[in-house]
Amino acid sequence: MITIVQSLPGVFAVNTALYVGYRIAGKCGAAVSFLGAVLPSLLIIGAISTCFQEFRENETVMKIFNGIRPCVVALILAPSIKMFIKSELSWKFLPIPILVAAVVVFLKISPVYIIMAAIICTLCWEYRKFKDIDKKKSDNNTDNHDDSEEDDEKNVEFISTKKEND
Amino acid sequence: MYLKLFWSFFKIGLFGFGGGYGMISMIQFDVVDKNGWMTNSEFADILALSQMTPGPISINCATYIGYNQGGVIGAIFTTFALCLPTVLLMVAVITWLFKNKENHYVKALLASLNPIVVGLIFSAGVLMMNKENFIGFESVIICAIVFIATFFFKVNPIYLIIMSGIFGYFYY
Repeated sequence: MITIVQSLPGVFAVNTALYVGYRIAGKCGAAVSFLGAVLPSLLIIGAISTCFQEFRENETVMKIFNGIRPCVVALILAPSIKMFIKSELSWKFLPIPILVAAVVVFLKISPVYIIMAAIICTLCWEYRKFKDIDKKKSDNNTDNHDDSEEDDEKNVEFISTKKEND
Repeated sequence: MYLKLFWSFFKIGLFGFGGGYGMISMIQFDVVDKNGWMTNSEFADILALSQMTPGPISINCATYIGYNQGGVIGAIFTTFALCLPTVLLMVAVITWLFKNKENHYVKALLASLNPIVVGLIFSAGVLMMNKENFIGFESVIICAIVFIATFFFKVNPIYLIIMSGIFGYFYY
């Protein structure tokens, strides 16, 4: 269940906090755990940001951040590749993330639209497929059915990314 | 101004699949490319700060950008704008989700979004490889070492940030 909660859009910690809070103490629990998850960030960053703008001009701080910036880039690239490996998709699907990245970097299309397009395409595809299945209603073998579903999903991804590329 | 901040982060919260890292590319797109609220190197600094400070990266980021643009009220606006879609979705969806864990729509969505989110995170990294952040070949070396350390040896990112900071202080 937690994995589903975490794959909903939004911040991991907030999703999890809301879910756990709700399970334990209902709506009030969710509200309290939400505040618990958000407030520390708000306060700490609030305190830092009041003085960071002045520090940034400081020579020592500039030196330090010259070292840190490329480090941050690596810290973003690494999890994306890790995520791909962890998702256990075969290397066949490597073109999808590469295509998506290329679209964002070169065509400057907002990531929000890419996600939207992917959602719409997936839902349409699923809807069409299951309408056909309902019509037939002859195939009761769920195992076969699951396999075909997976393949279709992969096609959808290709379609959606290709659409974005056009 | 506040509305624009709110709308940007509401959108990011609504479509931010894949957690904090997935949101980075969206935040970067809206904040750096679209609205020009900050430069790419400022954004990199904020990411570093967000990673070092406790709390979720995306919330830290949102709070900082909000404060930068609109003071305390801006910070509160962006933070809650980022979380609001999640809260609404959780309230609306959670009971339904319990019953429909195996729903084929849900499964298909999660499966198809996965590689896309990977691509988005990767693009965020690629977009940050520019002259502002990479000021010389030393930067490339830092990037490569950090990548290897975190990818193969699973070194804690906070140590890596601190080490690169120390290196930057003595080298530059």
